[in-house]
Amino acid sequence: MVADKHRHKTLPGAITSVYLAHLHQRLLLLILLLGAIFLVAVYAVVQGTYDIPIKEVIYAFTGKADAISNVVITNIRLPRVIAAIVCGWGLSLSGLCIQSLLKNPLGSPSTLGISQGAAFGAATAIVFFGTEILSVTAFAFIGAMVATLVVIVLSGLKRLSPEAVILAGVALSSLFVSATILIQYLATETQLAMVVFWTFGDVARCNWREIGIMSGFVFLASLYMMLLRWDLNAMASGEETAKGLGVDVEKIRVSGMVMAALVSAMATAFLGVIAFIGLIAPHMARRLVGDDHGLLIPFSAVIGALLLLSADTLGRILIGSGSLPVGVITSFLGAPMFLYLLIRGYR
Amino acid sequence: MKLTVANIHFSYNSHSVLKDVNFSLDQGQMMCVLGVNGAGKSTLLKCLNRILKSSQGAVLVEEEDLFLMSQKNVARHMGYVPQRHPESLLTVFETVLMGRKPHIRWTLDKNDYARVEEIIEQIGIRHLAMRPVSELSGGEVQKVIIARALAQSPDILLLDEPTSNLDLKNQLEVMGLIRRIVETQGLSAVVAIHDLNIAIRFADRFLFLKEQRIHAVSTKKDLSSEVIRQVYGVDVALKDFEGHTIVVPV
Repeated sequence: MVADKHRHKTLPGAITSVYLAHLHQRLLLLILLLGAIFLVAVYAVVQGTYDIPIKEVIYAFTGKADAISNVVITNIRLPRVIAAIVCGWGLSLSGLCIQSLLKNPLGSPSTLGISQGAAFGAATAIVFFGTEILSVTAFAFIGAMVATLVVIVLSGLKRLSPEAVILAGVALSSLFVSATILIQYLATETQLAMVVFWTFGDVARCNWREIGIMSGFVFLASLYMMLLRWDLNAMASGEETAKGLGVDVEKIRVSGMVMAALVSAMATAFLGVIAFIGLIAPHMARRLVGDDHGLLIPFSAVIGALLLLSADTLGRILIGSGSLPVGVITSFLGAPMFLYLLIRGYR
Repeated sequence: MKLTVANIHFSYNSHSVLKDVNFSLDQGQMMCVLGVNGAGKSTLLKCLNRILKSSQGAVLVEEEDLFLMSQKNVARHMGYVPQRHPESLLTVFETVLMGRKPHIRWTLDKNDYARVEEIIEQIGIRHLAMRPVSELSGGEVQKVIIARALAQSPDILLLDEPTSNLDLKNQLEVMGLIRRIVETQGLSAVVAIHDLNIAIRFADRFLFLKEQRIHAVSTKKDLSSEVIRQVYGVDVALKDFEGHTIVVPV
C-alpha cells in the first residue's frame, strides 16, 4: 500500500513529459522544414535565365547590388518566391480547415469547386468591371462563397457522404468552368487572355501590393485556426463528440468555411486556380504528425508552402526560358494523389 | 450533484420522439435507460446535454438549468460518450486531453495535464498513452472515450450504448469501470443500453421508455417481469443466481 502510494505520487507528470518531448521533436522537424523552404527560396532567386551569384542576392538586400540584378531580384524573382510561399501556406490551411470541418478527407478548395467558383467570379469582374484588385477579389470571394454555401448545405444539412459531396464539387467545378468559358465570348481580346490565364494558376503574376494583402489574410487565417485547434480536433472526431465537448459546431463550421473560402478566393484572384495543394499538403502533414491540429496546422502550412515553391521552381527549371504555370505541375502531382487516397480509403 | 429532468419533449421535424419525460437522479447513482430499438434512448441522452435541442422542458444540475447555459458550460457539467467513434490518428493522451476542451482558454495549463494523467491512471490505460487510438481494440477505445468524458470534470456522465460493440469480458469491464467511477467519484451516470442483464447487474435505477414516454422507473428492488414484458413484448422471468438478478425469456 505504501509502495503503491509512493508510485502514485511520482507518476503524474511522466506521460506529460513524454508528450512534451514528442512535441519538441516535432518542433525541431518544423524548423527543419522552414530551413528547407529558405534553401529552395534562395535557389529559386539565384537560378534562372539570368543567373545571379548568391552574393548579389545578399547585396540586393543591403542595396549594393547592380541595377539589373536588383530589378530581377526585387521585381521578378522575390515576389514570385514569396507569392508561392504565401499562397501554398494559405491554400493548404484552407484545405485542412475544409477537411476537418466537413470531416471529408477528399475536401479542398479545388476538389469542391471553391477555387473554380472564385475563378469564375474573378473572370466576371474582369470582363464587366475591369481589372481593379478590389472588384476582382470581391467577385472571386462571392464566387467562392457560392460554392462553399452549396457544400455546407449538402454536407451539413443534407448529410451527404464525403464521396457525394466531392461529386457535387465536380458538378460545381464544371458548372463554373463552363460559365467562365461562356463569359469569354463576351470578353475583348485582352480580357480573354487574362481570363484564360486564370484557369491555370501562376505565381508569377503577383505584385508586392497583392502579396501584402494576401499575406495579411493568410496570417489572420493561421492565427484563427491555431486558436480553434481544439475545436477542430473535436470536430474531426464527429459532430456529436464536438457538441458534447462544448463546441458550437454550427458557428465554427460556418466561420471556418468562410475563412477557407476567403483565403482560396484571395489566392485565386491574385494567382489563378492552383489545384490540389490544399488536398495534398494536409495529408502529407497528417502522415508526419498525426491528427492533432496543434501540429497539423503549422505542418500543413509549411508543407504547402514548400510544395508550391518547389513545384514552381521545378516548372522554371524544366522549361529553360519562361516557365510552366505552377497550376499545371500541382495538377500533375495532385491528381494521382487524389486517386491514391480514393483507392487506399483516404488514410 | 442531483440531476432533475422536467418535461422534456423532442420531435424530428413533425415526428415526435419524446413526450413529457420527467425523472431525477441522485448523486452517486447510475441509471440505465431501457427500451426497444427506436424508443428514444439515444435521443433522450442527447437532449440532456443539448446535442439535440428539445422544444421545451428543463434539465437541472442541482439548481442550475442547463438549457439556459452555453454549450461550453453544459460540457463542464456533462461528459458524453457517444455510440460511435471515428477512426483517429490522435494518440490516447491527445484524445483524453481533448476532454479538457470546455476548460481550455488559450492553451493547456499544468492542471489540465495533471488531471488527464490522473484519469489515465485511474482508468488503467497508462500503458496505451502514446499509441494512436486507431490501433486499439474496441474495449480499449471505449475506456479511452470514457477517460475523455471524465477529463471534462463533469458532474454527470452520459453514455450511449457503451457496450454495444464489445465482447462479454469487455462489457463487464467497461460497465464495472463506470460503476466504480460513479461510486468513488460521486458522479451520476445515465446509460442507454440494450442488454437487460448487464443493466440490472450494474445500475441502481432503470428508466423504461415506451412509445415516446416514460413507461416506468424502477429500482433494483421493485423491478418486475411485468414491466419488462410490457416494454419489450416478451415474457420473462426474473431469477436469482448467486446473488445476481437475471432476466430469462420464457
